[in-house]
Amino acid sequence: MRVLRQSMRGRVGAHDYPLEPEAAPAAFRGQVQLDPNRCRGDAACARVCPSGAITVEETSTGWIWQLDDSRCVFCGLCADACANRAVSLSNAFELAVRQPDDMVTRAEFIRNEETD
Amino acid sequence: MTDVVTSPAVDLQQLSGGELLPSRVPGETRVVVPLVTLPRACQVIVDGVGARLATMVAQDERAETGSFTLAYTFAIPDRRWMTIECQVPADSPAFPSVTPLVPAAHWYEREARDMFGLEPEGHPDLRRLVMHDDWPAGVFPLRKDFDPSIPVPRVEADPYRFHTLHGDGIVEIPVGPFHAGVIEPGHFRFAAVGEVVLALEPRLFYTHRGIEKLIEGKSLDHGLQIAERICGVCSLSHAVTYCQAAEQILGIEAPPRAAVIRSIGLELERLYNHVGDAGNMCAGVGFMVGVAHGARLKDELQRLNEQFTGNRFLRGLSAIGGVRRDLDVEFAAQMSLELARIAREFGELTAMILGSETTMERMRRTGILPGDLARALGVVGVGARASGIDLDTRRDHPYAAYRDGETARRRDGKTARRPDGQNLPPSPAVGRGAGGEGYSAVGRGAGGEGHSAGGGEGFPVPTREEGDVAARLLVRIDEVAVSFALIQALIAEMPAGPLIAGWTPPTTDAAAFSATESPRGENLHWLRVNAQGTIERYRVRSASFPNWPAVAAAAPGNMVPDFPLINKSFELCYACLDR
Amino acid sequence: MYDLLLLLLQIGIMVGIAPLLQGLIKLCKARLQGRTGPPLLQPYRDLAKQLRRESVVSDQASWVFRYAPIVYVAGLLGAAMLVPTVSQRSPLGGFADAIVFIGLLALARFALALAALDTGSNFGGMGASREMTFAALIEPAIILVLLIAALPRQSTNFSTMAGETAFTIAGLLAMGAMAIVIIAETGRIPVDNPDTHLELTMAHEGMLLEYSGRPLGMVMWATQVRQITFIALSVALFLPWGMAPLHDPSLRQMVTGLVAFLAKIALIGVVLAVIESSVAKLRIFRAPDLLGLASVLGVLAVMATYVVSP
Ligand code: SF4
Repeated sequence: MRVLRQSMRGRVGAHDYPLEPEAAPAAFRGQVQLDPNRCRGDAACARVCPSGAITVEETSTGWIWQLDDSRCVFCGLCADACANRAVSLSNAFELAVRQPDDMVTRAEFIRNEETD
Repeated sequence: MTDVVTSPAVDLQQLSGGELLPSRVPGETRVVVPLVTLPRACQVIVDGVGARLATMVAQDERAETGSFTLAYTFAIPDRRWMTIECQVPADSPAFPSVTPLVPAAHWYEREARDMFGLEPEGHPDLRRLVMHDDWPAGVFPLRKDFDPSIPVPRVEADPYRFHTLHGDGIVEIPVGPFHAGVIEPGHFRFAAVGEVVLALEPRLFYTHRGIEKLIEGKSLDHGLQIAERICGVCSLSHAVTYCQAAEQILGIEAPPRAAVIRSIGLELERLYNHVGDAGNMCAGVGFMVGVAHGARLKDELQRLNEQFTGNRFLRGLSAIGGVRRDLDVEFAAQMSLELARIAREFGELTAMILGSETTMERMRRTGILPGDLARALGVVGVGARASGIDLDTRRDHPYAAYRDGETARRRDGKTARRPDGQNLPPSPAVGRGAGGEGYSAVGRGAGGEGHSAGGGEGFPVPTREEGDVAARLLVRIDEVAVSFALIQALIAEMPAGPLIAGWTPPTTDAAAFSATESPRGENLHWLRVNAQGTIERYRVRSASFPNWPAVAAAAPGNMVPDFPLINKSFELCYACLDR
Repeated sequence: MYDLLLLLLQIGIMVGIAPLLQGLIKLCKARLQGRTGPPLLQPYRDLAKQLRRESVVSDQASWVFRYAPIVYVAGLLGAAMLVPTVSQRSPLGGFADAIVFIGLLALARFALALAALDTGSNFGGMGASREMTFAALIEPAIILVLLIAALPRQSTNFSTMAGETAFTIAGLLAMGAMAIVIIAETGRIPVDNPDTHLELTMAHEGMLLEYSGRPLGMVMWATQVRQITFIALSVALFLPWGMAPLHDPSLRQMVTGLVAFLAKIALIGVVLAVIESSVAKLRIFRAPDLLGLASVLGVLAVMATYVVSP
């Protein structure tokens, strides 16, 4: 009985998560994001990525940056490695998709001779 | 293990009769002995100075020296290590088994047999351990000439032979590896008469991941990412152990601020595990209120982890040379408040559990692990401390901020407090309410009697003598109190300074090992890098490895439906075995 | 005609309300433990889901396994129809009495235990052995409790038994026995744990382990009916207030009876949830002590009947 009185004093801890959205804390390491305006195709991210989730491919006109969410382990090494601060880890954690291909983000860059 | 050795390394060397080798980590005595004297040398160290077998590392050095090496590393009670090495010739890969003299070597030697094809002669049990029966004979995955990129065809083989008991009324109950709940795979074979367990044989290692092979040839940085993912619930402990071993090799040290942040992280890891486990043990007796509140508090602690490191399991905090996240003043203050509240609520929860007579009645005298058996098996962590073995890596082989003698002394001044307000050291008496009845106060709290002075001295290590489920619960509860106090003390005295020390990949062949106290006990990682700066050999001895046999040893004599409770009270990890 | 209507009403209540009562108990337990808990109607959804699912039968199973659920359901439904609920009249009282009631329960239990043994699965065997051990201890207690109720009226017919036993010494002792019977028969803590899926600790759940799909849904439902049957029995015997009279009740009396019945059932459900949340499960060897206590109380009650009332 005493137990129950104590127990009842506590409030119900859970939220109705899928119905009420839940925000991740600011420090959270979620989905990798690329800021296309900052990316210069250094491929530092691809080199440090332990799981091979990021690839950077040179093309004749520029480069293709590609991220495979299904491989990413959210370690954040890519963000640490990027000298241009183009790569960051966002707060997004609801990454479920219907097609495996949707896990892949692809960005094609055309090299701009003036800025390089 | 009150037997104290104050003699220098030479004594140990003379004791084991080997030839001294240069040590790899501070406090290590390393000797090489001829193959024939190996078991005797190990026995002398164990019986003579009360050493505990901490790990055994086999290596394939055929390319360099034409032989395999075996290294048995022992933890010596006065904070030193002793490694006994020997060479196993490549053309006759067999060695005299240590197991008949030192039972703790049982699984290590079977594992070396599976992974390297080294035959332990005279070993009482030569069944497969890690690689199950469908793995072809003569293929040894950790040998250097094994190429992991080529798939290995599985073979049909005789099924595993469990030990069987025969007699009237003895029934065999196979449980698992698939279970009715979402837990990891493990098979348990009970021999029971009615509801009483006569013997239990677990069969584990169902999901071998080949981590030790996978990591070979990786850079130190990438190796960390793998080491961090060996286990979910001890991931920071594994990461820090790995980082410390790597730092040892690189000859660097984490800056003081990083050491403190690591310690805070490690204590947070202990907290969320112990708090969750204290609740979960109630599930074993069907005391659902305890389960629900334990789960709630655990989640609150994990949310704190998430805010601190960006990951609920504290991943990505530790890096080689230091840490990757700072703990700023503002968040530290907020965390301190949160923790104080959670500590208070955990106090209420423990009062509730200990006050529930039906719960405690189920836990008392259930699943007793006798102290001498625990010692013989080399048990570590809560399981050992609840059976009267006074050991804690944080004190015995201090690392990170536990090494700081200053901190320890100051901390000793402010005694740790149990959630209910009783002082913890020097004696965590439990005469309170129904919970502690029948339990003598045995906590050798400040733990240092008979130990030589040094850094981690004065670190409170709660122990109990009973060795039953209740003792393991109470040790956890006491440790939670220590951890809460420790985090507060560490937050209060955070040194300023850099977070990470720089380093360049190593250019010479070197090896080192390191140990940390995870929530489940001592984790020991042994790491060797080659001249190219990549990993040559990595050996993980997680806390669960020496403790699983203890679960099997604690079960006989209990009732079948009490086994889940006993298993939960040890709270071991399957994945830590399935490296 | 009255009997037929009553029977229909009874089927509706017992079968229809049983999952609701289950949901109520679960919700109460969750709230007592500080959890949100499943919605009240969740048991209906679970049943609907199971009944829609295909059943997988082990190839080791014989016809026993396949037909046992039918016997189980039939036995329990039959028993459920005997207990007076809204009115003092037992809907099938004209056909059977308390002895048949006990027999039907035993039959149902026996069928399920056989089925659990049939597949040769260990947990089934273990569950069956535990359930039968408990049964051996709990059935005498049920008989004694019913006997107490039957003695004053010299009849084992439920229609005459209902609403008789009140607060005599014998009645109080029998009530104590009945409380233990309810806990044991509904498979609740401290005897069994209805929520556990730890293979090694299950008793009743262990017997259901091999069932899936529609038979599982049927058995689950019938078990919920068993739960409400026992609660209704205790209500009829010990808390008879508000029940419609035996003969020719008015509509108003029927409605009062219905409301009173629902309220009493809900009350007992809440009490069960409280008990279940405040204690841990007994060690399996200690459970018989508790169950034995029920029988002892029953015996004492019988003795008290003769000693106190001539
Ligand atoms: S977070 Fe880690 S795994 Fe993910 S893309 Fe970046 S480096 Fe690769």
